[in-house]
Formats: sequence, structure tokens, C-alpha cells
Amino acid sequence: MQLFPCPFCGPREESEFHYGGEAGNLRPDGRDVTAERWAGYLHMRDNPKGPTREIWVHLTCGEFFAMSRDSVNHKVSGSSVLGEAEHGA
Amino acid sequence: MSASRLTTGGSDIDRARPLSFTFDGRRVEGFAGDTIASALLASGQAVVGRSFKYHRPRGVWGSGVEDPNALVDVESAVGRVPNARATTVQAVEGIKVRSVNASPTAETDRNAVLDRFARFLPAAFYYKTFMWPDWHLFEPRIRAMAGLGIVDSDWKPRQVSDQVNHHCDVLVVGAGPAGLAAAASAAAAGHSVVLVDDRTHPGGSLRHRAGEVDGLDGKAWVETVVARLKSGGQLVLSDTTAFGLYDHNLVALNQRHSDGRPDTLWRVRPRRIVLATGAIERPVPFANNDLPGILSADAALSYLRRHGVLVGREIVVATNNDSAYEPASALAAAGASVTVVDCRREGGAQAGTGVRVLAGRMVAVARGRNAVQGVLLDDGTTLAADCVLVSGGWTPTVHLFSQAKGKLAWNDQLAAFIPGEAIEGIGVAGAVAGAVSLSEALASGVAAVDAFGSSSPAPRGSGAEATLGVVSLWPKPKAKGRVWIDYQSDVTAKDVELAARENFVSVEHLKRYTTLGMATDQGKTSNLNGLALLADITGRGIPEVGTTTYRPPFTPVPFASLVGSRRGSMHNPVRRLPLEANHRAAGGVFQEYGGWLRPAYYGGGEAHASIQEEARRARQSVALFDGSTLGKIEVIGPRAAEFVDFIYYNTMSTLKPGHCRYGFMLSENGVVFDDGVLVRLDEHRFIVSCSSSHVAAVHARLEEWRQDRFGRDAVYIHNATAQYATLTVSGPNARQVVEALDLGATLDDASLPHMGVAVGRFAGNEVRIARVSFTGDRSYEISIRADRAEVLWARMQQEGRAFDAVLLGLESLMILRAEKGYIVIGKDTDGTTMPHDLGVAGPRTKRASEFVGRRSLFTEAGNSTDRNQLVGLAVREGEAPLATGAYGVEKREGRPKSIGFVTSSYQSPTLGRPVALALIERGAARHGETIDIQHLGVVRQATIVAPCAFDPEGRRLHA
Amino acid sequence: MHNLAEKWPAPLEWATATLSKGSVSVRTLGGLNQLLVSGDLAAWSKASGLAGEGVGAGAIASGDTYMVRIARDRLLAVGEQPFPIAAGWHAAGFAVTVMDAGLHVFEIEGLDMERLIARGTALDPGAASPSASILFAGVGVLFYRFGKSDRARLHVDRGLAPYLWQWLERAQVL
Repeated sequence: MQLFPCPFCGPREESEFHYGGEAGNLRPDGRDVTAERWAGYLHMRDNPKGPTREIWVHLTCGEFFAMSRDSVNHKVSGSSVLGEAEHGA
Repeated sequence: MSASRLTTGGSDIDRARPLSFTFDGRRVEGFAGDTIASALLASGQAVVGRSFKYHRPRGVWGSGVEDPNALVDVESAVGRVPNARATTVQAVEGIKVRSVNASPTAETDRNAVLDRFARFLPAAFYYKTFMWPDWHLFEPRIRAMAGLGIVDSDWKPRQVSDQVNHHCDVLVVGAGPAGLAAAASAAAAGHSVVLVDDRTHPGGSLRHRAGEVDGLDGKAWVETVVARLKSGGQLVLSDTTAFGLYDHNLVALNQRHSDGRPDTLWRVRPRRIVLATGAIERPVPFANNDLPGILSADAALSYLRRHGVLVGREIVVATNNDSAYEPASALAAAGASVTVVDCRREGGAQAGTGVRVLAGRMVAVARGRNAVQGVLLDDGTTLAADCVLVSGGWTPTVHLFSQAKGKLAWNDQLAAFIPGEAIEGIGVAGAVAGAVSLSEALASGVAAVDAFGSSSPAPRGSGAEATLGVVSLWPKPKAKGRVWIDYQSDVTAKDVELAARENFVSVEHLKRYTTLGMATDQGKTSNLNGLALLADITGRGIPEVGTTTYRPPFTPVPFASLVGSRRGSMHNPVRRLPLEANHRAAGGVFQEYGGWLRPAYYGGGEAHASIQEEARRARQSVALFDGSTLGKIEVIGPRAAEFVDFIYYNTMSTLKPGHCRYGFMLSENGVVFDDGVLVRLDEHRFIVSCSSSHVAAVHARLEEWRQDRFGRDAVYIHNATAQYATLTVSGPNARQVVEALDLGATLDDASLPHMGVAVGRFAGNEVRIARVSFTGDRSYEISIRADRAEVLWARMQQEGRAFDAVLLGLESLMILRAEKGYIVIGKDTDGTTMPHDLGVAGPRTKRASEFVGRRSLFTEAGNSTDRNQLVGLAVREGEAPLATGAYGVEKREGRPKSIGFVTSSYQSPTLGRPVALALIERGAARHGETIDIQHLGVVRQATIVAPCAFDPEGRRLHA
Repeated sequence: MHNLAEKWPAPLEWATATLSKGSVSVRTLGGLNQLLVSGDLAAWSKASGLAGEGVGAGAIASGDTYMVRIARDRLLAVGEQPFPIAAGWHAAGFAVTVMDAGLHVFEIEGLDMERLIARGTALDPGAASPSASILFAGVGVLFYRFGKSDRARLHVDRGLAPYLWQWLERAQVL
């Protein structure tokens, strides 16, 4: 059972969180986006071994945030509120 | 074997409190403080069980969790526990103990004959032999013959297992000398400490091995330290096994109770962990080394000093190290005749009076049938013996360290793996870290805590064994006779050789091919001997072969412990309606729908007839329905309109306040995720009325798009589903009933048209009235705060009486909506259904603004012309309804191919015929076509029609 | 059709139901006014006259009106009297929804309260968390203390209150 740091609530148990995808997967808008670009957004994932940057949601407070962790040793190096890099506004 | 109870001695037992229990029906005497194993030994019981595969007789080998043999089923006042370890379970007055895998008793097992065919039953024998014609023909018989304890299929918990979360600064696992020194040091440094030990009494080796600490006798020092910890408010848990070490320092403990309570599960999250888990003595490889009467030397010493049990009269001790000399001397002093066979040329430590030492020799064969009777040495000498003690060195208990992903390092001096590179936050101390002498163990305990940033002097200790002096004594290939490696899985050296011959040379393959280390003891005594043999056979070093992966649990944990109270009705809690009591009173028969407990139908009569009757009467006059489960998620804020436009497939920003609109939400892959009505209360406030089962998921999506696209200040999402009960009045006479409720709202069709929303009051509370219909009849959904709903519901029934109002359960509602062709997402749609498959193509082609899932509607799949589309199906007159899930089939190139399936199917009491909805390939363009519908091998015909079978003009919505 | 009403016991009469064992007791606290507030919490504070940011998990609230923090920009205002603030969007920058009936409130009191809480949540009692919203016994609740250290309040979704009650009933310290 991992401990994840919600940027607002602080460390909470893994069961209070839900995975939200790899960070930086920007949404391309419009019906003219190429099929490849759209498929990349929907399906293509890097699934890195080692350091990763991911979006998670803390279910109890509803905060979506970015978390850096290592997919091999499960060490969490930090979390931060969603920045421009994560959402495709 | 002639083990017996001595007249004096035994620090763990209370001779003033005798007790008795039965073993295989025979009465066994013991004392309070005995384990089942110590009482069995004291009563001279040599055979305590039969082995898994060959039904070999097996006796007690160890004195703790490491014992591979003494598995028993224990029946007590609180139920039956299969595969309990007799060495760790306290003897209790009146319990019934049965040996496992033996019939009728361990001593007279009728399958013992199997052992004579052992040479025909090597590793993987079953899979090689019973391949033809089908393994499953043989499996039941084989399973009946092999195996361990018997599960009690009638088992019911008398009480749920307690589960506790706990936090502390330092958790120390193991209350031997190193663990105690660590705990004392941590407590002195001001840390909060939890100290756990899997034995009933703390102390570890200090309880049965000689030693002095800080000038006190070992046991006295233990008592002092434990008393000081407890009086200092620290938590000391005995009979508690740390069975798993998980991510981020979570340690799971299972605590056993002697008072009949079920085990307690502790989930401890310490800041630091000290593993002082000790080491386990290894068996010595010689032929027939599994005979009853062959025990671990350390266990024999433990039984002598803790339980006053002398394990034999004529004892041979086979060893390769110094630690066996204290047991040898102590047993000799207790009256046994003891011969040490030490494989080391120089012999070992000082032997006590009366101990004969044969140095430079090894035991080659043990003799005996149901118990050991003597040994043959490698030089041909034979020795009579009623007991053989073995000490093949010590295997550090590195399980928890390895579970924490710690790397192991091979230590040649100890002939064992010990923890390698340190892991942050986890210290190791004592025998697990390779500290052999008492003073080293104490010092390493303190050092482990010092590493966390405190500093204190170590207790000073002196013990009997200054060094281990071990030389390796591994099983050798091509040995004569059967040398047992894994007692519990019945794996011999020959099985390991066979596996290697067949090229299973990876240690993980060896494990799975031979089942070495796969039994309930997980190879605590056998793994190292097995992989050392594999190393020898394959010409590799032991570190090169490596170990298999250590996984939790360290010892078996009862499911009841892991489950706690989350079982039965509490396994997956359902949500409860505000008016559940009223529905019960009305004879509601409840089912679970999308996580809610809801009335399926009312009156408690026969289901089918009751449901048909409800559906029939609903069309005649008026029906009342509890729709409180519908989602009510508020979207509030300056950019609320823009937000709902993006969320919905349909344009929603054009919705006028006081109105509502039906629409779809899509996933980004274009698939319809939810449908429902959006209410606009004012310019900046909407209510998303999503499906009952989707509330949490829709809420999460709204939050995600809010935070990940619009920004936090644009809009706010409030889930107010639980705040309101939503009570629906539907039917031709619905308006009359609602008028009678006197809600203070104007109900004429100009003021409150279909899809209009009004605000009224009932008994002082604001109510929201929405003209939305899921039945196809004129309907009013009235939402009122949940705690005031009861009065309104009663009033609705009272006013409805004049109109012969009927209560609708969910099942009859399903019929009504299916008559109308109204869909239920996830039932009438699947993971490929897009909005244009449901006949709602407008927004796809017309909308100019962006919305969730938009691009996916124009992919190759989205544009495909042979998509499954929603249709109705009509059967031939007089036929029964189609089966839900039945396939539409078409012959293509001579083979039947699925062209979709039936999603909803009911008998319509109003139409007097079945109605069905289906997703059928190109269905929208095929109305009138008759297709084959196949179900369980039977093919029927059905005609594709429009989804709406009842009132297709929609007149009744306004009637 | 198997009637699942037999699997789940009928809900209780909350007004009178109590649980008590040893030195801890549980009862329902009816009639509290609850407002869900999101947005500019400083603006809300100004409009409502309620000072502070709301109590976090396990922190002590007091008075006849107080606030419980849920998220970065969300809190629950709790009061014995109705709040004179309308539901909906407020131009000052906050949104308000009435939750009086939506959240059921249990009050747990007694020396063993802490031990009972430790059965339901893995939250470290020694570490403060700004949000009172936690997973307890597997369901989301707002958890804080009220008035003194051995009295806790749990706000839970109304539909899950019978489950939480059953869980409390089975808890070993109750």
C-alpha cells in the first residue's frame, strides 16, 4: 500500500487515489486533427520503466495533480498542482 | 522415538495447570503453555502427519514457524482451522486435533503404501503420465489422495476479525536479543515503538540458549526490557507475525489470540523498521532424513528448556557447526546419551560432560520405518538412536527484507544469504544480519536504531556460541537413497537432479517443476539446500543461482483476518433510499441496481405477474415511482454554459433557464458513456441528471475536465445526489394527482410544458418539479430534500388512491421504457456504441464547437457503414419474448456470423406482445427485414422495426 | 426473485438509535444545516462572516457555526441555524449548494474514540491533513473532532449511513 502526497491534503493511502494517465498527453482539439495524432492522444503510451510523471486524482478531495514517481522502486519524488504542461487549454 | 516429559523444567509451561486434548481421537495430556507440538512430543507421539505426496510418516521437526511437518487441523469452540502449525498453536483444553493427509490416523494411514511406488512418482510425474486422454479424468482421484488439511465448507465467522491501523516511529520485528536491544534503544531515544514477535513469549534464543546480558540471566533481562517498554507506553505484541512488508514501509501483522477471538490484522506504518527476524536452522542431507524422531537441534533444546520435554534417550547429533553443541550438552545433562557426529575434521566447540564426539564423519543413512531407530555413518559405523538432531547451519530469515526489494548478499563464512545493500528506513539486526554471538546481536540491534539518528550504548552480553564455525554441508548429486530437501512438498535430491537434467536450471523453474518451496511453509528449511544442490549440479556458485522471489505472506494468514468486517452484506456496500422503510412496508421486493438497493416490484407476490400488472396499470391511470437514485450533480459558475457544451454531445448552452434537455455524454473514444437530462436553473447553474449507477464516474469526469481544461475558477461541481429524493408521478392522470398535492406551482402546459422545470413548495420545503418522462406518459419528477420526502410520498399515495395509482418497481419501469424504445446505457449500448448508432446524428454533423469524444466520431470506425445500430425487434404473433443477449445471425460464406444482439426484451402487457431492443448491424436501414436470432442453439425469426413500439407519435407525453 | 431486503437489514430510526460499549458511544446528530461551498473561500468568508479556512482531518471544530475543509477550494459550512445565504452562484466568486439532508452526521464520543477511528482509516493521527475528507471503512467521510479531543463527527453520504452504522456496530472496540 503506497502513500501518495496530495498537493493539498498531504500523504494519504493509495486507495484514496485513482490513476489519471501520463502527464503531458495534451488533447488536440477539432475534428480535423489527424487520425494519427488523435490515436496517439487516445491510445499511445510511453509506459516508462523508471522515473515517470503521471496525473492522479485524490478521490476524497477531488484534486487532479501531477506526480513524479519511479515505476520500478515505487519511490515518489513529489507532486504538484496541475500546470500548463499537463492540460491542453 | 521415546520423547518424554521431564519431572522438572520448562520455562513456558505451568505445571499447576494441566490440560488435555485429543489427537486423531487419542487423549493427549499437557500443561498450559504447551504448544500442540510440545504436548504431542511429551506424550511420545512420533508420527504427527503424513507427507503431501508419498504419505510418508512425519514427526515434529522444528519448534516454530519453520516446521514443515506438524500440520494439523484444529477444531475448537470457535471453529476449525485447517493446516495449523502444531509448533505455533497453543494447546488448549478440549480441542480436537487431527493430522492432515492421513486416514484414519497419522500412524495407520491407509495410503502409506504409496511410498513404495515412490520411484515411479518423481517430480512432474502426474503431468507426464496422465496426459492421455485427459488430465481431468484423473485429477479428482489424485487430489483426494494428495493434499493437506480439509477446509470446513460450513465455516461461518462467530465474530469478525479486528483490523487496526497503527503508526509509530520504529517497528521492531522479532523480540530476540537484537530486537529487544533495538526496541529498548529506540524507546530510550524517545521514539514510539512497536515490538512484535511471533512467539507467545518474547526473548527469542535467550529463552532457551544460555546467555547473560548486562549481568542478568538472559531470561531475566528479557523480562526487564519488556516490562520497561510496556510501562513506557510502547506496544509489545506477542503471538504476532509480521507477514508482509509492502510499499512505503507498510507492515502487515497477524495477531493470534488465545481467548477464542479471531486473529487481529494490524496495518502498521512505522517511520523506521528494524528487522531482527533471526535465522532458521537447516536440515542435514542424508538418506531418510525425514523420519519421525529427526529434529532440528535448536528445536530439541527449545523443547527441553521451554517445555521440559526430552526428545529422546539415545540421541545422535549431526552437525557442521558449533551451535549444535549447546543442545548436545544440555540433553546429555538431562539424562540422554548423546553422540555428536561433526563433519568437521577438527570437531567443534567444547562438548559437555557425557557427550561423545565423532569428528570428521557424516551421517549417511537414517534407519527406521515409522520412527528413526539408528544411523549409518559414512565410514560404515552404525549407531543406535531413538532421535537424531540435525544442525546444518543457519539460514537468516531475510523474507521481509527481500519483500522490501532488498538485495541479498552471499556470505561464505555463514554459508548463507544475508541482507546486502541497506534500504532506506529499514535496518537489520541480529542473526538475520549475520550477527552470530549474543554480544554481536545486541550491538547490531542498537546500531540499527543508531542508523536512524540516535545513539546509545549497547547492552553487554556473553553467550555460549562465540562463532558459528560452519562449514558447508550441502546435498550432493548422486547420493544413495532418498535425501529429502523439502519435507512438506515431498521433494528429494533426485527430483532436483531430474529437473536439472530436463533443463529446468533457473531457480524459478526448479521451484515450479519440482514444487520445491511451494508448500505452506514456503521452503523455510529447504530452499537453500535445494538451490545449493542445483548450483552443484550445474557447476555454478550458489549466489549465481540466486534465490526465488520472496513474497508475502511469511506464514499463512487466515482469510478471515484479511477480510475483517468486509464480507456478506458489507463486502460491497449498497446505497440506501431515503424511503426504503416505506418501500419495505409496501411489500417491496428488493434487488441491487447499480449500487443501490431498490424495489424491483411491490406487494411481495409472484414476480412475473406482479411486474406485468404494475406495467399494465401504469398505462391506464397513474403510477408512482421512487427515482431518488438519479444523479443530481450541480455545475455552477461563470463558465457553466460553456462547460456543459463541452461535456455533452448535444448543444446545451442554448437551453433556457427553467427548462431541461435530454443528451448524451461521450467518452473521448466517442462511445456513449451516459445519458440523461440537463436542467438549467439559471444562467450560471445547471443540474446534471445522470444515470443512477454513473454518479461517481460522471462526477469524476466533470471534475477532471474542469481542472484539466477550463481551470478551477471557471465552474464548480457539487454532487447533491443524496440531498434530494426524487418522486415521480406518471400516467394519463398524472397531472390531476400533482394538482392535488397543492405544490403552489402552475401546472398548465403553457407554464410547465414537457421538458419544463418549475419550483414549488410542499409542507414548507422547496420542491423542484421537472416534466421529464422515462415511461412515455406525461410525468412529473418532484425533487424534495431527502429527509422530508416521506410526507410527500404518503400524500402522493393518498391523492393517487382516487385514480387507482400503482407503485412502480424498477422492473415494470424497465418494461415501460422498453415499450417506448428508451435506452439504458450499458444495457442497450456497449463499448462501441456511438450516438449516431442510437439515431442521434445531428450534433455529429452540425456542431461547430468542441466536445468530448468529437474527433472519434469521424474515425474510420466511426464513419463505417456497417455499425451496429439500435433497432426494435418484433416476433411472430403468439411467440414468447426473445432472450436478452440472443444473437442476430447471418450466413456468410456458409458460416453463421453475428450481426448483433438483443439488448432488452420484455412481454408488454399493454401491447399484449413481446417488445425487444437490439443492436443490429446496419439496423437503422433494415426496418421490415426479418432476421435469424439464435439462442442456445435454437434459431428464431424476428423482424426489425423502429425502437419505439408504443405511442410512436408521442401523444401521451402531452395527454 | 430473491429478496435482497433480507440480506441488508432495514434502516434504523436514526433519531433514537445509539451504539455504546465500554467507553465509546455513537449517535446520529440530526438537524444540522450544511452548505457545500466552492470557489473563492476568502469571498465566502467575507459574505458569510465565518472566519478561518475550516478544520482538517481530526482537527477540533467548535461553536454553533463552523467550517469543515474538503478541498483546496471547497468546504462544508455547518450550523445549528439556517445560513442566510442563497444556493447557487454568487458573483463574489463562490458557489453554494444546500446539503442539509444529503450528509448524515454521526457523533462518536468517549475515551476509545481514537481506537475506533484507527479501525476505519489509515490516516496518521499524528500528522495533520488540511482536508477532513478521508476514506473511512471504505467510504468517503468528513472526519473532524468537535469541542474536545475525544468527540468525533463523521459526515457521510446519506445513502451509505446504514452501512457505516453496521460497520461501527461490528467494530471490535464498539
